Parts: sequence; C-alpha cells; structure tokens
Amino acid sequence: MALDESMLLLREENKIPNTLRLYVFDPSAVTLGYHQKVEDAVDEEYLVRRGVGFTRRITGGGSVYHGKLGEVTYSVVAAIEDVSQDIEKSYELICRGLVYAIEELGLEAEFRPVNDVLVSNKKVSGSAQARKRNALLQHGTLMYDTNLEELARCLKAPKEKLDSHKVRSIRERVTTLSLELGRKVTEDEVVKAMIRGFRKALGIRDLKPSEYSPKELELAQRLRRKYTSKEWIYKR
Amino acid sequence: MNERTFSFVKRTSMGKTLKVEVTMNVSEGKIVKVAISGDFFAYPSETLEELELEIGGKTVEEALKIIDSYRGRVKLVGASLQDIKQFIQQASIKEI
Repeated sequence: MALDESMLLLREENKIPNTLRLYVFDPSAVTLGYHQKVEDAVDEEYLVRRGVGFTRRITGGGSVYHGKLGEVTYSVVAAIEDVSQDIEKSYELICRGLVYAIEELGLEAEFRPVNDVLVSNKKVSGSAQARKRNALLQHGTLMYDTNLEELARCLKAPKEKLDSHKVRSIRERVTTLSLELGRKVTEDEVVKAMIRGFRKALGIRDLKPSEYSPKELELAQRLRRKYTSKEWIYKR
Repeated sequence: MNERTFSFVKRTSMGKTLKVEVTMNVSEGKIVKVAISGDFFAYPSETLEELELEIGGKTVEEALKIIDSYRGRVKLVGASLQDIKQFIQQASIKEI
C-alpha cells in the first residue's frame, strides 16, 4: 500500500511515468477501504488469531482479502488526462483490462459499475481509485485461485449488502478463475494475461518491465510508518 | 447522560453501503458528532472528515446547511450528500 501511494504522489509531481504494477501479498493480508470501520469490515479477532495483517487503504470501497496464493493485485498509476476526467468512465476503462485478461484465459467477464468484474454473475475482482489533482491510482485484485473459505472468514459484509445481492454469505457472491474454468490457473498465466489485458484496454504501446526506482522506495519507506500505525488503521 | 447515538445503514442504488452514526445532545438539541462510514467512494477522500468535524456542535438545521455547502467540493460515488442529510434529519426526529 505504501508503494502504491508513493507512486501516486510521484506521478502527481510528474517524477515517474504512467505505471502498471502487478504484485502478490506475502504473507496474505487484508486491506480496508478508506471510509470503512474496522469492526464493520473484518473479523478482527479471527485475523489476529490467524496472524493475518490488515491496514487501511487511501482508496474507498470495501475490504479485500489478498491471499498469498491465488490472487494478483494490480495498480495503475497514471495522469488523469491519459485515462479520463470522468471517475466512473476511468473505472470502466481500467477494469476493461481485467475483462480482457479473463477473456484471454477463456472465460466471459462482465464489468459491473462502479468497480467490480464478474464471471458467471459472481465477483472475481474489485477495484478502488484515489485521485490527486493530476494523477490517479487505481488498484484492485484478481482472484484466480483464492481460498474463498478463508476470505469469507476474514471479511465481514453488512446484512444489507448481502440482501441486495440476494445471497446469504460473502462466499456465495465470489468465485475464482480456477473454479470457473475447472482447472488450476497459475499465477504466471494470470500475470501474462493481465499485462496483455491492460495493454489493450489502455492502448499502451511502450510497456517496459522495470524495478522500483530509489525515489519510489524511499518515499514508500516513509509512508510505511503510516500504514502500520494504529492511528491510521483505526481512524474510522 | 444527555447524549444518544443513532445509527443508520443504507444500501445505496449503486450497491454500496453507507452508515451514518449521529450522536445528539438531547437536552441541547445539538449534534455532538457524526461518523460517516461504508464502502462508497469520496473524491477527495478526506473531505468527509472535514464535513464531520464541521457538523460537530451544530444544530440539525445548521448541519443540513453545512452539508449543502459541500456540494461541488466533494464527489461521492455509491452514496450521496442527500443520504447523509436524510439520516441526520431522521436522528433529530428520533431524538424528539
């Protein structure tokens, strides 16, 4: 999370180019949306007992389980003018990268506004966006083989939310690419499909792999203190 | 204690959850504090915290005017300032 924010701040100052970051949480962790209350969003007692760390994002939206095995997280950091001034349109444009990636793996996927991607009417991806004056950060998850039982134990959903989706539990509302395809999908093929998907969706011509720059790492190291502080995590 | 907290939860039309907790000072008829939470989006994110702070200590009528003054300052996706106003009005009715 600190690196994502670092990239947003540096893109805002035009110190780094538009960037696609793909990463996996190790160990597994949970992130909460900016406006969520810890007690409403996660089973804190369970997380502590299982040693699953959690922090708050700078982006809104709901809580996310980032499994070490079975999930890839993406971040797109870009100049707003290169995506769209319109917030809802920009969500759709970036999420289309995920739709293309899933289609490449052999499934039909659907973007569901504002920020979800569904397969067979079940969620496989959620995204969230933060904006500065000139730059945006959109990050999200793609579940290809997530342990959904563990996800359902870690996260809480309000009764009102489950009712609106006509399901009784979080578990009924989510799926993975492996479950839908009936075979084990690998991280490697998901990452490759995501790169091609975002390239197509965002019309990226020159996407070059690179390491984190010293300034990205240095700023992230400073921001890291915030993400581990109780003041930040329990601010709502 | 003169304070009572009223909690409201709404599933909004965009499928997001908005929770507004309003603590009222019953004898003075004023809002002590408001906490707005949920899985919606706000741009810029911090603006709702400024709104919460500004509303604290105000009457319901004053609070509703303050919320109106935030139109144009914040864009909510999956919730609305009108939702927040409605909950505060409901809290004031319950308080009576």
